[in-house]
Amino acid sequence: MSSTDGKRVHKMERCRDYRRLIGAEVDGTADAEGRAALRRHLDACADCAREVRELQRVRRLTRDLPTLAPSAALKPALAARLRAQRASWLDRLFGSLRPNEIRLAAGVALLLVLAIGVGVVALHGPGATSGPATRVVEISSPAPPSPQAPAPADEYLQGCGLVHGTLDQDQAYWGADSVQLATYAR
Amino acid sequence: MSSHQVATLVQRARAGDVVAFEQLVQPYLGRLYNYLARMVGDASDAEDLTQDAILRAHRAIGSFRGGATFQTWLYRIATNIAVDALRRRGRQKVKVTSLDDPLQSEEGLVPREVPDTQRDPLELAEAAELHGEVQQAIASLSPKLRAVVLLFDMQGMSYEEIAEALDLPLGTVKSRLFNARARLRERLAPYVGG
Ligand SMILES: [Zn+2]
Repeated sequence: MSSTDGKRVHKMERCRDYRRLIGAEVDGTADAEGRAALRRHLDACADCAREVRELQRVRRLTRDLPTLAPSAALKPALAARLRAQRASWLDRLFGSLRPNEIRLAAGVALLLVLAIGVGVVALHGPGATSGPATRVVEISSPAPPSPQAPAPADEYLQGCGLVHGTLDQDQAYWGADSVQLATYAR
Repeated sequence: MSSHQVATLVQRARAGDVVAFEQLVQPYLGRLYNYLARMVGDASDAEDLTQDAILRAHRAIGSFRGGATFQTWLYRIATNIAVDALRRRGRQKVKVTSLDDPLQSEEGLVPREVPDTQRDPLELAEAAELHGEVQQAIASLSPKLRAVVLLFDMQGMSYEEIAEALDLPLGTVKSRLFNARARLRERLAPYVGG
């Protein structure tokens, strides 16, 4: 490695140390101490100074995008769907009290659950608490959904990938990207 | 809206009061739409997704805990909706052409600001072109980076709020924001270089 290469590596490593400060500066969240430290580095480092300048321009461009407004149709459409959703929700809740068939089905389901429960208890004795008992819970699960049960939101949220990182991998965090940055800052 | 008002409305919404729920989400509708439109790059999809997000929030209102603010909770749902939609559509096939095209105004793509009549048509066309370029650059980001940069720059959320909305550590929010900007800088080099 020549001495100029050595210097360049050394410089890149130093610049890397300033990435967090550069990020904070661009985001407008840097504190006075951080800004002073960064200022000293930028006075001596044209590459980082250019990086800050360009990242600030990028930020201005994204911030200046016009705000898009929905059409006038959104609100009434949403109001209608909300009311429809509430109606179907109430239906699921209280539907079994209205048509006789549903009441009958609920009764049969209840009897089935009880019968399975009794069967399991009879097979394993009242003291049996191992495996099969939990299976009964699964078999009896077609009970009507309760609005008080934890709503499915958390499942959706975790399914999204942002929670568990199942989307494409973060291609670059601080370390991985700084090589690239250093490359084009040269 | 004070946190007490929010809590009251949440309670009423949980009891099935649709009007209370509407009052709860009303202040966020426009911003959610704007966020989703920028996330998926398509105006009419964004209307559907805004509805989907609100309907999902309505179904899930029972699981809303006071810990998260209502706003971050809504953005969390909206982000999941957008990511699901992008995944369904096939990654990176984001339609980006229609967003800032002034000719599309009848389809609901009207920028909320009053148009600046001082500016001449050529200038307006140039601005629209630049906005199109920026939107395309944003669309080229992975949804994870896209969400963070939109929430910070367009929605004005803090690192902490984004961390809560996306369920990420604070450091990850900052690094994603930095990485997003670095990529945008590459994409937008002709506009930010020099
Ligand atoms: Zn430097």
